[in-house]
Amino acid sequence: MKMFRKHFGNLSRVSTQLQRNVLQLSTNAEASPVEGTAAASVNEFRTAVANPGEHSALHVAKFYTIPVEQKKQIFTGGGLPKQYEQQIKTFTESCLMVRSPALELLHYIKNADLTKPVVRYVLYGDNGVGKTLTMAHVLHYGAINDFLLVHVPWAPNWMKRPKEASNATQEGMLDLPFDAAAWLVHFKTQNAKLLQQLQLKTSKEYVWSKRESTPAGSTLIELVEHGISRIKYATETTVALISELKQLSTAGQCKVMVAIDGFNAFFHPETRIFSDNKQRVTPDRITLTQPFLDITSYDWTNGVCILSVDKLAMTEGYMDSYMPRYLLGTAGFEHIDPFVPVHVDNYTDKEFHSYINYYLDRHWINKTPKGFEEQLKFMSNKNPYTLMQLVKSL
Amino acid sequence: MRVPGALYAARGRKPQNEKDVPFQEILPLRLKNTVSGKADSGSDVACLQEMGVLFACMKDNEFVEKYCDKEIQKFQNCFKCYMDRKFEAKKTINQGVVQPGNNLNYKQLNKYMRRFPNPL
Amino acid sequence: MAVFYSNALRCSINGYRSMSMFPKHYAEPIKRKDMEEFNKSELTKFYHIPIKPALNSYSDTVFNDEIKGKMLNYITKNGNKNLARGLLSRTLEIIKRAQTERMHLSPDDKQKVNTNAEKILIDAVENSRPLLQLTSIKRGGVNYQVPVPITKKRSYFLSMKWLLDAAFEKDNKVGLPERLAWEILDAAHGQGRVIKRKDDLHKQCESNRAYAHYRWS
Repeated sequence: MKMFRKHFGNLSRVSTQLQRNVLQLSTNAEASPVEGTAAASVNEFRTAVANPGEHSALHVAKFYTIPVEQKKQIFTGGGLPKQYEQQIKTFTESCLMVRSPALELLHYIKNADLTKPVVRYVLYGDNGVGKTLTMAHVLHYGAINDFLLVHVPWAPNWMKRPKEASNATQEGMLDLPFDAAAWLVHFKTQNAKLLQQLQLKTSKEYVWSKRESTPAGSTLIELVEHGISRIKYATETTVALISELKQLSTAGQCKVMVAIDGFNAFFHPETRIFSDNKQRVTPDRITLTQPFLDITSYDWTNGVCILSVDKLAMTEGYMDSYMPRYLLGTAGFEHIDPFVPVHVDNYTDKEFHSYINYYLDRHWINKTPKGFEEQLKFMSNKNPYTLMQLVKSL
Repeated sequence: MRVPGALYAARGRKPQNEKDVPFQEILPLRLKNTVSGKADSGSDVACLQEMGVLFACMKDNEFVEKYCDKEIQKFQNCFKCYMDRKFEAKKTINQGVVQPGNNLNYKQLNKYMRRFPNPL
Repeated sequence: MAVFYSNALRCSINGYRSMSMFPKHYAEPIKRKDMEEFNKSELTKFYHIPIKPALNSYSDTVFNDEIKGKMLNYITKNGNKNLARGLLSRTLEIIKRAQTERMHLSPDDKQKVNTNAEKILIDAVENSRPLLQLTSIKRGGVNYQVPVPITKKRSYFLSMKWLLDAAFEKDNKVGLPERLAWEILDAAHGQGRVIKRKDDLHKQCESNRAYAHYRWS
């Protein structure tokens, strides 16, 4: 069977190549009869199953399309790498490849007992192997299956290039009001529909200042909107929101999916933020760190935690290995200690071939001399990001 | 009216005595054994007619090359032929093979003359 | 060094000066990977011939292209070829992005949009190649601009130089790749500054055609 599939794959490549050549020849000619072959080759590397919950080993290395509204809902505030967004814009369709790490993760999540304390899944792997896109795939699953998403697109942004840092009310702590507000907006766009449906209420009264307060029993949407409109209290709102979410999900009123990309940034030895006495601040003195460390601990139920550790979240001198133990450090490792590691690796041969076919289909690779695929394979070492870079100028 | 100088000779300067001005042979009084290659380079004006035709065509078609394909082709072929010929000629010159005939280039002439130099 | 001097000496004995430090009987290196395809007898003739060392810009990737390589050399400044390579590949990427997006957005005439950036680059270079050029020739104390035909090589050089000039001339707010990409796209479609520059040159040649016979060297 495998042999047959491989053989068939080659055939389809030839057909795409032929199609390519015809296209090149007929740039000025009128329509050429290649529509039929195009339709046939599409099924080779695409799948019509757009629900990540239904993906199985049968769909490995195939592309599925995220519907436009769902993409807008989940990824407006980030979540896809910038260059991938660009690619989506160019190809005028948002496609994700079904890959085995995502399937593994989905399998775990589907079979998990949600009444038990949350399980932490840690995605790890070398630079550019697709950790973020794996997370995007799982996020799509979460959004469809009524999980409330607590998604941090790229945590190091807060530690490396915050919009503004100001002193918090707590002594010695720093606030990132704009980033917190931006995150609240992101949370709102991702979960607006679900929050309306569930009508979640706050459990206690939050007093922001003498005049402003959010009474107990107001909806979470009100809470979030308050944080967005009063940027000064955005961080405190985030803290409140997350503790509320923990309580609500433990009470069984909702399911929560936590997804934090670049989680190890919370345990980096230092940030690029300076305090008043011109010294670099450690991440634990940023107020925004607290709620997300809080929600990744195991003292609540009815949720899943997907974290990714990334070399790029660190700064120079701390990027020797991509292993979670190294990147998280002792404190971080102990914080999430019983966790399920999920290794994201480079493409397999099949995935690579499928990706090349996809590029050919999207007219992104235009030069197809003999042996180009082998050469790309060799040059990129089947690393997704490197392949993307190489193919850009072809 | 111009008056011949001889009329005033008595009043004017005496003609110089030839013995006072000894002859100096600044350059040797015989031909060199070599010729320079300058004259052989010749005129470089080539493809004038083709150029004229091309200009006429271009002017008629408002400088759109698409309509003057034939003329452009002709002009470029002409120039290419010319350059090729020049290149070939230079190559034969550099080889310096002496062959009988009266149409010799400077290298061949030089070879000949080196064989039969002017007597000293 | 000693090799160089002895070579130079040999060259001057033969009566010509070559720009290369290698004498003429040195064979060119073969830039091919698939040496198995060569005949054994073909290879035997290289057994006793000295061969020039390969240039470090030689490449046997299947994505290599002559015009692309030339363009790369013209973009290079101060020998910083790495930077130039990045700029050129970014340029091609921008062209391809624009074209691919255009193609996917207009489903009816999909076949007509060319998404091959390299082909577009070649088209642009071919479109902006001049046929003639003007040289200044002094006759009777007056400088005349005389139209003369140009070689193929120089016409390629001029067209690529003009493309780059036009790109450098543009507003400095965007990077070179963007500017170059738009110039190339314009030229490939037979419009834009470079094409205008070429046409201007042709017009000037036409108006100076009376001087054509002044050509001397």
